[in-house]
Amino acid sequence: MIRSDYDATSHAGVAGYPTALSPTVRASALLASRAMLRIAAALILAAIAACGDRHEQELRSAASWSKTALVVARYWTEGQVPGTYARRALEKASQELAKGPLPDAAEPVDELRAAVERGDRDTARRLLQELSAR
Amino acid sequence: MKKILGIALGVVTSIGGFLDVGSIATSAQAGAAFGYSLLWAVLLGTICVIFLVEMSGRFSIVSGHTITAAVRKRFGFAGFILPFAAALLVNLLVLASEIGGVCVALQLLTGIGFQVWAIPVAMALWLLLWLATFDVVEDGTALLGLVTLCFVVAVFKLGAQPGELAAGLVPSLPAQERAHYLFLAVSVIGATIAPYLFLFYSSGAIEDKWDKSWITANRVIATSGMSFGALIAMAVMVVAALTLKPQGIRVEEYEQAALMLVPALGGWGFYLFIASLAIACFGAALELSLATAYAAAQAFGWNWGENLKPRAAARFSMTYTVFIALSALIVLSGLNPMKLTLFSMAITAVILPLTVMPFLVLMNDRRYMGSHVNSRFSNVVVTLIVVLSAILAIIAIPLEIIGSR
Amino acid sequence: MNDIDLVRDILDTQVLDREKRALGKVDGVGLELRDGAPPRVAYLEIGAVTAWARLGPRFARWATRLASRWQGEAHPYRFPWSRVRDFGIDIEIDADAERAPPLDLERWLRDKVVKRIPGGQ
Repeated sequence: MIRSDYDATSHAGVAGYPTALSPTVRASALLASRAMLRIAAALILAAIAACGDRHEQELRSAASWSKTALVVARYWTEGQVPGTYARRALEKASQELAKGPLPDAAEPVDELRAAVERGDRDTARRLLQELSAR
Repeated sequence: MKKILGIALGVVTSIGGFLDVGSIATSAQAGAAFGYSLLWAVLLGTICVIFLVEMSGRFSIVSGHTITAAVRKRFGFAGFILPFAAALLVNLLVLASEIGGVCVALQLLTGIGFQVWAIPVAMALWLLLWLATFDVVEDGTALLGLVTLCFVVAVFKLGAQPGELAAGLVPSLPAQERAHYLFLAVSVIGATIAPYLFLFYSSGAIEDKWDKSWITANRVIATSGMSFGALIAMAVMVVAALTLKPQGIRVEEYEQAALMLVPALGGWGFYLFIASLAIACFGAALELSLATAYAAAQAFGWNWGENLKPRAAARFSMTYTVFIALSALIVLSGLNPMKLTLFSMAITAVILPLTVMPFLVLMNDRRYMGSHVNSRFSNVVVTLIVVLSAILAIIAIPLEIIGSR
Repeated sequence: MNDIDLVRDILDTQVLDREKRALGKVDGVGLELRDGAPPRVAYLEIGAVTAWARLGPRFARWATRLASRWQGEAHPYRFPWSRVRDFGIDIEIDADAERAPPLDLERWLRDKVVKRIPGGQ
C-alpha cells in the first residue's frame, strides 16, 4: 500500500546524489569547519571566564544576602513587613550566608532573626545600628 | 459599538494578563543586577510578540483555522509532532513555574513553605476550569491582574528619569558578568514571547467567531494590549533597579523581590507584590492549562470549546486535568521555584524557532491567508528576533550552568 | 469537481459529522490500485494508529500494540468518499459522532471518569 503522505515531487531529486565532492563544496566545508572551530574556541574561552567569575559571584551573592537581611530587619522594625515574612527571609539569608565564602556573616543575621521571633523591635534596632556602624 | 467594547475588553485583559511568573522573576532579577540596561530585551520581546499576536489573530480570521490545526494540516502529522511535543514539554515546565509562583506568594504571606501549597493551588486551578465558564474566569483574572499596575505607580513615585530609562532601551554589553547578562537577556525574551500566548489568542479568535471585520480591531488589541502590558514588565525592572540595586540586593530568591515595592508604596507595597505575583501567576496558569488542552484537541481533532462542560469534551478536560496534576508534582518535588522559572524561560527561547517558524510559513501561504499574507518586513523582524534569541540562548544556558554551580 | 490535492486538502483535515461535531482528523487515505487504471480513493481513515504509523515502522508497531491492548484489535475508522458531504476548512461527512468508533475513548472517559468526578455530570 502506498504511504498516504507520499509526495512524488519531493523525492525526485534524491537519486542524483553526487558521489564526488566538487571543489566548491570542499571549499565551503573547509570554511564551515574553520568557523565551527572558532566558535568552539570562543565558547571554551567564555566558559573559562565564567568559571573565574564564580568566586566574584559568590562574594556578590553573600553581599546581597547581608544587605537583604539588613533591609528586611529594618522594614520589620518600621512595621512595613510582617514578622512571618521577616523571620523566614532572615532564616533564608542566614542559610545562604553560611553556605558562602563568608559564613561568619550569618551570625548577626541569626541574632536579628531571634529578635524578630521574640517581637523585640528594640533589640533589632540596636543590632541594625551596630551593624551599619561597622 | 460592540466592536469598541470588544476592543476595550481585549486591550484591558491583555494588559492585566501580560505579567506572569516569568516576566516578574526575570525583570526583577535583571533590574536588581543590571539596572536599566536590559530594558531593550523587554522591548525586543514585545515587538516580536506584537507581531506574533497580531498575526495569530489575522491568521484565524482569514483562514478560519486555529494555528495548531493548521500546522498539522500544512506539515502533516509527522512534520508537526516534534514542535508540538517540544511545546508541550516546555509548557509543563512553565505551568509548574506559574503554580510555583502562586505557592511562593502564599509562602511569603503565611510563612508556610511553598510545597505545601502545590496541591491546594492546583486543585483551585482545576476546579475553576472544571466548574466555571472559561471566559468569565479568564476575564475575571485578567481584570484582577490590573493590580500589577502598582509597579507603574511605583515607578512614578520613585521619580525615574526618562533619559536614563531610554538609555536602557539600546542593547549594550556590561563590562562584567557578561554570561549572566546574556542569560538574563535571553530569559527576559523567552518570558515575553510566550508561545502559548499567541496559540491561545488564535483559539479565542475562532471561538469568538472573528470575521474579516475584526482585522483592524485585532491589530489594535494586539498592539495596544501587548505594548501597555510590556510597560508593566518594564516597570518591574525599573522598580527593581531603583530600589534593590542601590542597596546591593540581588534577586536570587522571591523573598528579595518582595522588598521592591516597599520604598515607593510602604507597607502596602509588600502585600501588593504578593497579590501581583499570586494573581498574575494564577491567571497565566489558567491560560496555559487551557492553551495546552486546546492544542491537543486541535491537533488530534477532538471536541473543544471554552464553555463546554467536561462531559461534553472528555478528552479535552482530562488533558488539562492530567497536565495540572503533572505540574503540581513538579512543584511538590521541591525544585527551587526561582531557578525553575528562569530556566523554563531560557528554554522557551531555545525552542522559539521550532514553535514560531511553522507558523510563519503558514502566514505566508496564500492558500490560508489569501491576500492577507505577511509583509516581508514582518517576516524579517520575527525571524531575526526568534533566531537571534535561540542562538543567544544556546550560548547562554551552558555558560550560566557552568558559572553558577 | 476539479482536482483535489489529497495531501494538501484532505489529509490531516478536521472531520465533522452531520451535526458539525468533531470526529477526528483524516489520519490516512487508502488508495485502491487498479490494473490499467489510475489509483482511486478507496476510503479515508481516522485512527490514532494510522497517524502514529506515519512516523515510521517503530511507531507503527508501538501504536498497534497499545491499540490492541486497549481495543482488542487496532480498528481504524474508515469511510468511503461517498460519505463526504462537503469539504473546505473541515470535511463534513454523513455520520453520527455519538455512535462512531473514533469517539470510543471520548465516550469511555466520559462514562468511566468524568461522570464519576463531582461536577462532571
